[in-house]
This record gives sequence, C-alpha cells and structure tokens, in this order.
Amino acid sequence: MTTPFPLLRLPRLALIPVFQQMESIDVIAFSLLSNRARFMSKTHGLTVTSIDIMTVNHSLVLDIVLGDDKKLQLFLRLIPENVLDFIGVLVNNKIVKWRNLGFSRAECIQRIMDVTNCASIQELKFCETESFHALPILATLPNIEQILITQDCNEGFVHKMFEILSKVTSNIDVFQNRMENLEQFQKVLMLNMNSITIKLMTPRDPTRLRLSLDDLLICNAVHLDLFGVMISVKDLNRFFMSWMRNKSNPRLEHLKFITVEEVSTDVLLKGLNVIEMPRTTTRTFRVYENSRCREKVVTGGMDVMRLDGTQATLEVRAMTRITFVEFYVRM
Amino acid sequence: MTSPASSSEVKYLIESSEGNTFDVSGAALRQSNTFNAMFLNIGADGPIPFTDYNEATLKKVFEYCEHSVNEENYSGPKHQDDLSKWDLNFFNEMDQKMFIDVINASNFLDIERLTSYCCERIARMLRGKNTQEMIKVITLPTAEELEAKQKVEEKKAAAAKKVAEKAAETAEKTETLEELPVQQLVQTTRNKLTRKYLSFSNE
Repeated sequence: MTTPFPLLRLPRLALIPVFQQMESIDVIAFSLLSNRARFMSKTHGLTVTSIDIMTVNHSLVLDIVLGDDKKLQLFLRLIPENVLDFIGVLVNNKIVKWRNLGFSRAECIQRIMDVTNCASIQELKFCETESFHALPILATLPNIEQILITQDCNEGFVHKMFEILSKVTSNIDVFQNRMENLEQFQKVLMLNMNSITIKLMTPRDPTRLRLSLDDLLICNAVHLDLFGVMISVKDLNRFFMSWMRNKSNPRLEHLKFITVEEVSTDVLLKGLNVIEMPRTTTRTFRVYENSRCREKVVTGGMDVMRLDGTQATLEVRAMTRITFVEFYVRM
Repeated sequence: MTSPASSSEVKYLIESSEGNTFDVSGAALRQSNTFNAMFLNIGADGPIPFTDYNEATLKKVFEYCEHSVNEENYSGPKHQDDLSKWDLNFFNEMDQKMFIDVINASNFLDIERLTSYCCERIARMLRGKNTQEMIKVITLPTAEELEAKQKVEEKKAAAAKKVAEKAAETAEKTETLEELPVQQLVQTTRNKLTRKYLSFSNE
C-alpha cells in the first residue's frame, strides 16, 4: 500500500506498535516532521549507543550508533546558507537527502538527541583549522562528554572554543604541537575538568609545547595525560614533592606522562621517600582512558604518602625509546 | 450467550455498534487477549458488546481470527514478504477507512498477530522514505490547513462561550420567575383576607 495514509489520525495506543515495527532511521526522520510527530516518536523508546559530532568541511557530521549497532551519519552543512534546507544522510553506504522543515542546526541536533533519548554527545571532534561558525550551535548542546582537538586547529580557534564550550564538557583531548599564548592555555589547565589530555606529534622537537612546574600546579583536572610534552624531570619531582606537602591539585587521581627523552629515576624520586612494593602487590585505581573512566590494576610500583595520609603509587616504566611515568592516587 | 454445541465448537454472540449480533467461534475469539481477560473466566451471559466498532469491522477482524485459528502460536512479527496469499488478499481488499478501523478494533481486542501485521504494513509504507516523502504518505496538514483548523476551533470555542452565557442568563431569569408567583400568591392571599375582614367587620 503506497497510497497516503493518515498515520497521525490513529489513536495513540495503536501508534505504539507501529513505531515498534519501524526502523530506527525512519523514526528519526519521522520525528523531524512536526512537534506531534516528535512526541509520538518518543514512544518508540529509541536508544543510541553514542552520538559523536565532527566539524569538517564546513559541516557538522553526526555519527550515530543506534542501539541495534546500526550506524547512521547525518551531514549538516553550515555554509553556504542556501544548503540549510537539506540534511544529508548516509545509511547503508547510501546517501539520501532529507528536507529540513525549518529547523536551525542546533534544533535539529537537539531533536535527534531528544528522540533517541541521548543525554549527551559522546565526542566532539574539531578537524578544521577553524570552525567558528559551529561554536554557537555546539554551545547549545546540554553536555559533551569529550572534546577532541586535532592538530589542524589553529591556536586562536582553540582558545575561542575553550571560552565557549568549556562549560558543557568535562574531558578535553588536545593535539597541539605548540602554544604561542601559554597564558591562555593555563586558563584551560585551571578549568575543573575530569580529564585533560595533551598530545604532541613532534615529541623530539625542541621548540614543542613546554609545561613548567607552575603549569602542573595550577592544573585542576582529575586525570592529566601528557604525551610528548616537554617537562623537566626536576619539575616533575618538585610537583610530586608539592603533592606530598598537600600543596598541589587535591583533585588529582591520575597523572600520566609519556616522553621519548630519558628520565633519570634518581632525579625523579629524590626526596620522595618512596617505598618499593613487591611485584605481587596489586592495587586498583580509577583512570580515564579511551574516552571512558575505568578501573586499572597496578602491580608493584612505588608508594608515596601525603601529609594527610593519602597514599599514591608511582610507576616508572622505561621501554625502548619511550618512558612512562604514571602517578595513581588512592581515593 | 453461548450457542449450544460441542465444547470445541462453542459459539459466542458479538454485538456491534449498530446493535446487530453475529456468531464467532470460541477458538477465534480466544485470539483476543481482551476477550480472554474479560469473559473467558467469568463467561458471557448474552451477546458480548463490542459496541465501539461497526459490524463490518468486527466481521473483518474475526474473519482473520477464524482463518488463523489453526496457525501455529504467534511468535513475533512476520515480514510482509512471508505473508500467505490469503493474508495479502485480506489486507489488499480493505479500503483505507476499513484498514484504520481494523487496526483500532484489533488493538482494542489485543489480537497480537493482526495488530502486528497491520502495524508492519504501515511501518513498511514509511520504510526508507525521506522527510518529503513521509509528509506525502502520512498526509501531514500544511500550514494553511492548520490555520484553518485553528480558526474553526476558535469559532467553536466562541460559540460554546455564547451558549454558556445564554444558559447562565436563562437560569437567572428562571430564578426570578420562580420567585414571582410566590410573592404574587402571598399578595393575593393578603388582599383576599383583607377584603374578607373588611366585609366581615361591615356586617
């Protein structure tokens, strides 16, 4: 039967099984038709595993992983204005166009989140030099689990982005080789984030991003991951000393520092009064890895104690051309 | 009321919105969970009233039930392509109005198999459609239609308000009218008594 069918005239109770039989993609498309359609679509109880957003090519790309593991990509063009009327949809390797029925981009994303019962965006990824036009739209989102900034984004944009979006996110992953304006960057470190990850593409470059002891001390994140960032071992040792005297970030639970340079354990452990634990000793700590908070079992390591009695475990692992320094605080 | 027959061929009388009654076999009726919940245990004394639905709709619904009596137990929705020729004919010969009525009745009677097939059929109409095509299929009202509907509703509300006001006025008048005869009666009685008293005193 392909003739018109007045679906909305069916009683609500009869509509529930109709939505149960519909494909998730069809329910999402249907929810964009009208307000009433949205309320009805919600009865379907559609769920998503995650919604990621990527800004690329002057577009917002919504990567939706549905509850049944089906994947769906929605392309929302930001410029030029005349293409606002359509939403590109990639499903089963086929691109179709949905006519946009008068929604702004922000409304469109919010409606999709609403009908899929998704409370937060899992990851927001910035892939362009600058995506200023995307920021006001993204600022309307209720919550973004993690923001990922690739190396292609310029510094000016990164600072502006933090200014606008820092309130709606709690995890930041920055891929930046250098920061000309370190003062601005220190503001980022001071934010009450759950995790801050800083990665560098050129870990041997002597002009790469360098953090001082002050930068580490002002950092307010619960999990701090530094990959290839330049920090002197002496500064790292002084940071641990400050932690022991209770003069550093009290929220810190995990610090991960990976460097290609040599780490002198003598300098690093000087004055820390570490107690080396046998390899049979295992401890479980909370870490933030791969965009998820999880528990990690640590064997051995060196225990240090803070003035207030809080214990932490320091782990130094030297591998070929790379050294891991990890600091876990027992909460 | 059950027709006297062998226990396997128990017949029930169904009453439609027109007040007409017709027979349905117990086996067919037992596919309705609503019937099972309401009548199966306590029994029906007289025709079972399904008076929200007309005879044609109920007959169509129970035609399906009678047909699927011998089918295996329902185990989730079946794809339209897996439907039998009889099933396809059953759906195709219905016009749209009848189809909607059948969905409503089937939903009320909670006949899982029929409801599921009907809903799958509707879901199929929307499958793979983009937003423009969906609007055409579900005949979503346009902005003008919505405006016209709103105007009609406003007019209706205004008319209802007028009627209510008139009713209130009438009620007030009735109250005064009811009071008048009593007062008149008292006055008349008083006059009569006065006249009587005067004539008596004159005598």
